Amino acid sequence: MSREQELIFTQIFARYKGMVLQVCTGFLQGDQALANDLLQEVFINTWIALPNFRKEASPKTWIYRITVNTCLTYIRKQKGKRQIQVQGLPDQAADQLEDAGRPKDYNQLYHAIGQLESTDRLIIMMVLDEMEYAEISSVMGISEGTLRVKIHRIKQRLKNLMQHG
Amino acid sequence: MDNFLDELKCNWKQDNPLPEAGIDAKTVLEKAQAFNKSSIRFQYGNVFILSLTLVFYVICFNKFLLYGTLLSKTGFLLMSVPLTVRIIAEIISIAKGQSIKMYEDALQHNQQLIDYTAFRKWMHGPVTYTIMGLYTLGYYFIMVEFSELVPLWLILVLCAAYPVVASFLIIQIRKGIKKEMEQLRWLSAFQNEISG
Repeated sequence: MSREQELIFTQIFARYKGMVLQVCTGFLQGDQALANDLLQEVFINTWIALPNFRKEASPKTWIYRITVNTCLTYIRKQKGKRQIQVQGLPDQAADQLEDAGRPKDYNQLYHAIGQLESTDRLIIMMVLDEMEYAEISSVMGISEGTLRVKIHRIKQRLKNLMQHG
Repeated sequence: MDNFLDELKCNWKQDNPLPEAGIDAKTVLEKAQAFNKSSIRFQYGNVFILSLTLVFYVICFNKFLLYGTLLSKTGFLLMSVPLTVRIIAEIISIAKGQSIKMYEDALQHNQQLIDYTAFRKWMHGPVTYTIMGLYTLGYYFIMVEFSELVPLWLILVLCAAYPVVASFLIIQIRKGIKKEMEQLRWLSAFQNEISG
């Protein structure tokens, strides 16, 4: 691939690595080591898809689509582990987050997010990133109406999880 | 309920800065380039091995067999044509795999994976079993003329060894199909999860 594409890739990486890592971290219940591995996979897929990137398209939506699909592929590869070891991971993840100087509330939030279905986890991470519902619909491939219903259910579940652990 | 989410979003943005990635662009770029190359090698590896086998058959059989009988001619065709079909199917499968786009929306991407896995399952199931059946027939047809060229003990070994190798292959094929069926179930469940 050309130098120009390498340059575009470097710019995309610099601009969106934090956002992607945050989604991956939320998706993996705060496990930053695994999230970093997933980040690499996302950007490997980004590099492969780069020749098809149209400059007029929104890079954020484009990257989000690759991130969501990479996360779902990761889950598919982890056969039989749809809920990624909810019991095992939080303590380790909580230590990592406390080391990173994050308030305990985030551990609780990451833990609560980690107990959602895989697609719901990704949706709530996009909501927290203040993405427009139209953009989230475009990433997931569902109508805005369906998305609103999903978000309503996610909110209820999250609230319950955070109130009752 | 909306207050709950607004509060969550507000706190999230305020107190939760974007995490620092433990890797830089240059390293990821190098890994991506290396991965791309090895992925292409892996995909075409199977086609290369199958093509090599076909070339080997054509050269070997043309060197040793006289094709004096209709049986040996038919045998050669029954061995080489299905193998050619298998090579073409593998190339189609690669093309289908490459048409799966990571940048499509999640629902569409998942549907592409379902179509691809269903194709692989069909290719590894009915297509491969038919190919194996025809190939086996061709193998034993050729043995008749081959028996005139090599000692009897070698023919006996070749005839006896074939079912053993074929059984091993069938077990591997069945394992592969089982894995693909499991993947299809997962993908269908995901499709419902995304759209529902």
